[in-house]
Amino acid sequence: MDQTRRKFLKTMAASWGAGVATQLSAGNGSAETRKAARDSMLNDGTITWSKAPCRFCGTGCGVMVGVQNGRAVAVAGDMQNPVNKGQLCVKGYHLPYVLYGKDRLTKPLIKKNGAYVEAGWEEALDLIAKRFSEIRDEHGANAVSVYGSGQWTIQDGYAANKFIKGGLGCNNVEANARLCMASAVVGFVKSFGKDEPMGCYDDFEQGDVFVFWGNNMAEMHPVLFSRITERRRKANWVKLIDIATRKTRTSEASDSVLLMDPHSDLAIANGIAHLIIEKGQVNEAFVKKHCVFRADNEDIGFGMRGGKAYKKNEREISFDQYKAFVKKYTPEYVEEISGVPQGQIRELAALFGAPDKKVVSLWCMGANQHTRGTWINNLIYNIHLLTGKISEPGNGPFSLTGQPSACGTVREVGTLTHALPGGRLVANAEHRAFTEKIWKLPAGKLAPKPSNHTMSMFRKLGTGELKAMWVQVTNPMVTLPDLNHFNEGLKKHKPFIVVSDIYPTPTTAIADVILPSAAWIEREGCFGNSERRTQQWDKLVDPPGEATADSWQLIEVARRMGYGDLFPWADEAAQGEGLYEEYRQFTLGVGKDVATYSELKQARGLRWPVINGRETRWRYREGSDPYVKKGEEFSFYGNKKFGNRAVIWQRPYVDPPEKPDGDYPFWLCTGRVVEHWHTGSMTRRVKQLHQAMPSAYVELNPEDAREMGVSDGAKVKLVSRRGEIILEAAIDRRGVPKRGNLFVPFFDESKLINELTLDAHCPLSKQPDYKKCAVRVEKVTV
Amino acid sequence: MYLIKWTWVPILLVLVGCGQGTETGGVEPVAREARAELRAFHGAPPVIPHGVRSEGRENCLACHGEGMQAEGRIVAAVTPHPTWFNCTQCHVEPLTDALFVANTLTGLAEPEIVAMPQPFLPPYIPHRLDNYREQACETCHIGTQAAINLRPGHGPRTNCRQCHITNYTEASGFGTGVAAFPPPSP
Repeated sequence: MDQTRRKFLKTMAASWGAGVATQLSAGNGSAETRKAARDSMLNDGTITWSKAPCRFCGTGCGVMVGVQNGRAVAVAGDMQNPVNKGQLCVKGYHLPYVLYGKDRLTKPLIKKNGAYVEAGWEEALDLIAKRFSEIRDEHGANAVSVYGSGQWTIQDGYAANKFIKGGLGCNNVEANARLCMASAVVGFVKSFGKDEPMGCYDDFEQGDVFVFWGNNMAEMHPVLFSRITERRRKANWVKLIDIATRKTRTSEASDSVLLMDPHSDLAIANGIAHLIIEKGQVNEAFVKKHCVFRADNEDIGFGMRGGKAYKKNEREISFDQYKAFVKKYTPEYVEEISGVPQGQIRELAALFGAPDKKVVSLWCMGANQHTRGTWINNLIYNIHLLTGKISEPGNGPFSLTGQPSACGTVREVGTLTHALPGGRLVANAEHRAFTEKIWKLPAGKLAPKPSNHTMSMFRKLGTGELKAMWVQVTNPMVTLPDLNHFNEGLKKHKPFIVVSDIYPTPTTAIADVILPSAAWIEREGCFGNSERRTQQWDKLVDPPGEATADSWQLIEVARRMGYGDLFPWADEAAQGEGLYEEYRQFTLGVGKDVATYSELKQARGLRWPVINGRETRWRYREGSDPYVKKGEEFSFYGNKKFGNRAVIWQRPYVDPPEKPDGDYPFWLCTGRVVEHWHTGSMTRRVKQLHQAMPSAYVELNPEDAREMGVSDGAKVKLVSRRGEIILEAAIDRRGVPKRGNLFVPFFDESKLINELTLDAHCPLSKQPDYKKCAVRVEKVTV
Repeated sequence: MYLIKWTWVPILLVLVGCGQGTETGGVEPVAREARAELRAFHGAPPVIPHGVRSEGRENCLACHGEGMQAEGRIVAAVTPHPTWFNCTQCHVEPLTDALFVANTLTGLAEPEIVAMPQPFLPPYIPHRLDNYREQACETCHIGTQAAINLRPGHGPRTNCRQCHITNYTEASGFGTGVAAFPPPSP
C-alpha cells in the first residue's frame, strides 16, 4: 500500500467516524424530527394525492391525482384499484391537461343578435327556465327535452331524470349511450331479464380463450387488454381470437384472426351454435335446468325514416325447433356469407365447445352499433348458454362499455325515455307508483308511455315537433349519424338549444345558451363502469371562472320552473351525497344494490349488488351472488316469468339495409383511436395526444389502394348517398381493413365522417349502425 | 494491518463509493431537462422521440430491451417493463409540432436530486416507485444506458432497496398494498 493510498484511507476512516457520529446524533432525535427531515428532503408538502376514476372510457381505471397549488399537475395509475392495478393508457396518463385547455368555457354565454355575449348565472338560468316554461305551456311538456351522456355522473343523470320525468312530467330524457350501449341493454334484458354483465374483470386472469367480437380492445380498452395479454404471458396455453373486418392492434396480438365481411357476425355466431350442437358439446344439464328457447318476428325493418316498423311476436319454441333453425348455418354456408374460411369457424367452435376450456367473449361497438345489435348480443349469449360457460370465474360473455358511466348513470339511473331508476320501466304501473312514492309526487304524475328515443328526438328537432333541447356532456353535432340531415332541419326550425360543456364544440356552436361546466375532479361525483363497479371521487380542484356542476345547473332551472321541492339540497356540496343516497333507494332489493356513499368514499369502487358491504363478482351464481338461493346453482332471476331461466334466442342472419353496390362499392366503418376520447374536445387540447393523432384519415386495404392507384398519404374523396369528405389515405398503417372495407375515425370535428353515415338503427334497441354504410372512393388531384 | 487489509478495506471502499455518489450531487441540468422534454409531467410515460416505421413490441424491444449507447450518449433507454405487451398503449409518437388549442398547465416537475445531510447515508429515492417493477432501478441507474450522474458510486448490485428507501409513498398518501376496504368477496 503506497503512501497516498494509506493517507486517503486514514482520512476516509476519520470521516466515516464523523459520519457515524452524525447518524447517531440524528438517531437520538425524535421520530417526528427524523420524519420531518426526510419529508423536507423529498416531499415539499405542496402536492397531495387523491383517488378518482379516470374520466374517459368504461373500463373505469383508478387514478391517483396529484394536486399542487390548486391545480391537478400529475396522475398515476392507482395500484390499489383492482381494475387497472396501477396501469393507465396514454389518455389516462394525460388526464390533468384536459382541464386546462386555453379556451375553457368560464362564463355563461347567451346568443344575442347572432353573437355570444357573456352573462351572469342568474340571467342565463332565468332565460332557460322562461323559455322552457313558455314552450311547455304552449306546446306541452313533450316539446322540451334533455339529452345527456354516459359521461354524466350518477348525480347529474339522476337530477336530469327527476327534473324531466318527475318535474316536467314527460319522458323526453335520453343520453348518447343510446348511440353506444342500447343494443347491449336490450340484449341483456331479452336474454336475462336484467341489464349488465354477470361476470367481471376477474375473468381476465382465469379464462383460457378470449374471443373479440368486432372489438379493437388494444386501442379502445387498452388497460383491460393488457390484463389479457399478461394472462397469456403467464399461461402459455391461453388463446386470443379476433373476429374483425379490419386487422388492428388487437389482431396483431391475437393468435388467430377471423376476417369477416361486415354484418356476417350473425351467421358466424349461429354457425358456432350449430357446430356445438352437431358435435354433442351442449351442456345438456345446464340448458335443461337454466334455459328456455324463444323466437320473435324476423322481418322487422331497420328503423329508417318511413321504413317498416318493428312488431313484436315473441314466443317460446322447443330445443328441437331451435336445433332445426341453426342447422342451415353449416360452416360452408357461414363461409359463403362471412368470407371466413370454414376451417377457422370450426376451430373457434371447437374452443367454445371444449368442456375443459374457459371462454370469455368480449365485444363493444362492433356488436352494439349494428342494425341487428340486439340480435348479435343475444347470439353471443346463446353460445355461452348452450355450453354453460357463463357466470363462472373465467367463463362468460362480457359486454364492454364505451363511456365511464354509461352503466352507472344511463343504464342504472335510467336516463332513457323508457326507464326509471334501478332497472324500472315507465310503462309499468307498479314501477311508476314506487318512483312517485320516493319522489313524493302525487299518484299518476309520471307519464306512462316512453316518448322519444335519441334518434326520434333529433328527427323531431329537425321537423320542428320538438322545440327545446338541453345538451350536456356530449357533442351530437359531431356524433349523430347522417349529420347533414339533422343540420338542415335545425336551420329550418331553430329550436331553443342549451349546451353545457367545458370547451367550445360544433354543438355549442348551435346553442342559444352555453353554460360552463365543471369537469371531472372540479366537482364530486360517481361513475359506474363496465363490471358493475360504482366509484366515487371528491372535488379536488376548483372549476375555472364561474363553471358549475351539470347537476347544479339542472336543479337551478328546475327550481325556477317550480320543481324546487324535488331537490331539497341546499347547495352543490350537499347535492353530491344527497342525490346519490336518494337514488340508492331505487337499487335496493332489485338486484342492483349499490354501496352506500360512505362505503364508496373508502373503497376503490364496489361491484353491485353490494349486500352488507360485500360486493358481487359473478351474478346469477350460487355462492357468489347473494340473490341466488342455496341449491339453485344458477338463477337468472331477472327472468321470473320464465322460471329464472335465461333465454336462448332464435335470431337469423338477414342482409343489412345498405350494402356496397356498383355506385358505392366500399363498406365504411367508423370508430375511435387510442389517443382520442370520442370527439376529441378534451384530448385534442392535450399536446401529446393531439400531436400523436392530429387529424382523421381513411384506412384502405393495400390491394384496393393499388388497384385504384392511391398511395399512402394521398388525398381521396369518400362519397356516400348522404355526404362527402376529403381525407388522407392511410395504407398499411395501424389498421388494415379487409378488401372492400374502409375505416375512418370520428374524433376530428373538421372532418365530419358522420355526414356520410346512415341513420338506420336496430329496431329493438334504437341504436344506430356507425359501422356499415356504402361509399365510393374518388382520387383527388391536387 | 492484516485486519485492516481484509476487513476494513472493502467497507471503506463501499463508503468511498457512497461518498462519490452523493458528492456528484444533482443530475446535470441538461439531463433533467431532456427527461422533462419527453414527458407531460414527472411520472407520465415519455413520448417516442423518433419515427416508428413498424409497430409492435418486438420492434421496440430491439433497442429498448437492453438499451443502447453510442458515443457516450444514451440513444435508447431500457424499458422498466419489458414484459408488457402493448407499447403503444402508453407511448405515442408526435407527428406534428402544431397544437389544436394551447394548454395552460405546467405538469409536476421532475424531482431534484437532493444532497444528503450526511454524506455517507445511502441516498433516499427521491421519486415514486409504483409501476416500475421488473427492471426498476436498472432502467435509469445501472449499466451502460444509465446517465453518468445517475449511476451509483458502488457499481451494480442486486438488492437496491436494502439500503435505499423512499418515503415518497407514505408522505403523499399513495397506497401500494392491498386496499383495506372492502373485505374480499365470494
